[in-house]
Amino acid sequence: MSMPMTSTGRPIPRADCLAHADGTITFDVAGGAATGTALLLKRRGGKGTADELRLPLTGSGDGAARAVLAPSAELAEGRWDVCAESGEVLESGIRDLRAIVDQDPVRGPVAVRVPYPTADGRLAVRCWVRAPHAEAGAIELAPDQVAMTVEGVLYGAELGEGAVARARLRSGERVHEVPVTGDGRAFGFTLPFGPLAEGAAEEQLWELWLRPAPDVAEVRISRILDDVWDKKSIFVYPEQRTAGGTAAPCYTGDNSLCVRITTVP
Amino acid sequence: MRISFLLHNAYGIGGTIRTTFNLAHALAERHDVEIVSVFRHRDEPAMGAPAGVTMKHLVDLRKKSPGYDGNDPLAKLPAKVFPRGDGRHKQYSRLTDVRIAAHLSSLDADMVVGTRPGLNVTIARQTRRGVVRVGQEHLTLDSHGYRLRREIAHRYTMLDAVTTVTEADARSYRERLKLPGVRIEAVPNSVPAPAVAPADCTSKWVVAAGRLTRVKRYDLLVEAFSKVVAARPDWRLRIYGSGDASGNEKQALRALIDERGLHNHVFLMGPANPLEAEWVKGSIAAVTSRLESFGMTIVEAMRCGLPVVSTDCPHGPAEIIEDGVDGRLVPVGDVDAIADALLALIGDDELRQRAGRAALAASARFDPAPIAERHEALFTELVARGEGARSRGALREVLHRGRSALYDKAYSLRYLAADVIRRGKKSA
Repeated sequence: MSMPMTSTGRPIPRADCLAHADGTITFDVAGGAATGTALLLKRRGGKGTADELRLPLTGSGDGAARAVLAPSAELAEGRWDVCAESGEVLESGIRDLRAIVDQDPVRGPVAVRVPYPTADGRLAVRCWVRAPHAEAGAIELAPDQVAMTVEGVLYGAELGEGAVARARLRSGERVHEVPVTGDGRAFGFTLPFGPLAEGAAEEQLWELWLRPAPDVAEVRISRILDDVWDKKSIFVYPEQRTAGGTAAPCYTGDNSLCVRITTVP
Repeated sequence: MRISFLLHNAYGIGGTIRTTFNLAHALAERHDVEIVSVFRHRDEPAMGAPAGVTMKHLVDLRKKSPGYDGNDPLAKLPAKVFPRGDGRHKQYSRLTDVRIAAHLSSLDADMVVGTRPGLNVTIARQTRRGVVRVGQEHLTLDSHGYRLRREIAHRYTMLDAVTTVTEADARSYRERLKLPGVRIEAVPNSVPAPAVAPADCTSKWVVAAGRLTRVKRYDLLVEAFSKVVAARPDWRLRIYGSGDASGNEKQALRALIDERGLHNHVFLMGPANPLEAEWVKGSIAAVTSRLESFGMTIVEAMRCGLPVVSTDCPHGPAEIIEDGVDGRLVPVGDVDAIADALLALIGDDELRQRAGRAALAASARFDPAPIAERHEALFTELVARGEGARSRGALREVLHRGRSALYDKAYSLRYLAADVIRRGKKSA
């Protein structure tokens, strides 16, 4: 119900979002007159022509206007701010994202777009573009084995002989590899924490990658096929005791899967 | 009618403010409505001013305002008229006493409506003759401390009507207090229709939302969901909300989720506002509270088309949910019963979707328009009792004033005695 004001005393225009199952997102802007004839999507940190997208606004007669982000529109991975044509920010209104809560894309590159409110309530869109994509699912923890078992789904690539999951220390060269089992698109692996924790002197973050076959590029394992744009504090896992501290799976601010190793002095 | 609401602070955020705004806005279509806020600490109401309603304030707490009242010496002295039993007493002062008294004794309205016990008591004591006095109870009689309940019993005799948000609480007022001639009526809170389309109840999510405090008993919901997952691992639970001044159960719930190995199935989502877009991601809503003065979240979820599994706790749920039709009522604190009720809805898509549609239809009775009509009917009747009633009221007033003086003494003596006894017990 609140109505924030601009410095000139005009209410900040507010946009409601509706996500459709086919990937389309519609933006309904109240106070449409204030926003001009289009919405601008600007990729944060981007300077090129591909980092700005103009979405025409069409009036619905009662002062509201609608812009449509088609699934075919190209948006690079990152955070896109939604602005009025004047560059003025929009307030994030009601975001009806039920259609993207449990996604399972059938074909093509995985392109995920989640409208979200920034910390100060402005509307932005979080985009991921992955081809291929390794989606993390359930993570089982086996305290007696000090290990985790990850289940996932691979999109846009085939699991071959010799597929491996690789834990790579974020700030270093160390890599630890375990075999991956597969069944169609589904993959799974068990990663013991012991070797990761070995010799750790401080908190360490190990990134998890999937290499579907020996001669192909690695794929970052992430969890992006839903409406939770920031999983860090929501998808939280219990810590396991290691010889020298604790280990637990976690997600980064980009929703990529990691293992966090801590040491107890 | 000219209707004047008296609100603690119309510029903050809260359930009473929202409800009062909804009602004032609806009444303003046909009546002259004002909201008088005791305090004003910001320029614009945080929840948006209701259209068509005149906003006034009595004490200005905006430091930059030319009318700033914070330096008034009276603001440093404790309130004498505003009752000490009201939890907000510390915020009131001799200054608020003086301003409220001046407001109530010169009120240019047919009726004044109080929105919390301390203000209702003040209205009962100080409103000028000829103005109809209504006291609204947004919590429950039970939820107030001993001291405030005594004050209510004693002072509400001078009101024309008391409204509660549940029939159960109205019964408490009727049966436990002697308020002769005071009309006591239950009118539930209103919830506007959501801006999103209703849920179709096909997703495999259970949704709960509220403050993460002890009284909400989310621990029971997590325990129950452990049983749900054992039978139906394809279903998951989202709990929205955060702690508040009275506590934060997040860490305890996190630990319980870890202990039960539910980290793939139960998610603490943090706060979300508005909630309607989150309800519709679910197919069932769950409420496992020990206490719900009304049960606003139950109505919100139903208005989004979700069947609700709720504990049959005092006071609201049983007056909102029709057990077996648009949701389920289960015994308070019964983990197995909660799990069984959830599983029954989870296991039968047709039943769940039918219950969701029933919830959507049944919850339309909480729309602001019909709820405002019920208030309006009561208000109209009270004002129309007219001169006769008013002179009877006046007679009652004289009688009560006489009785009041006696009461005052007996009351303070009794109160003092009780206080001494309690203190004795505490030190023993």
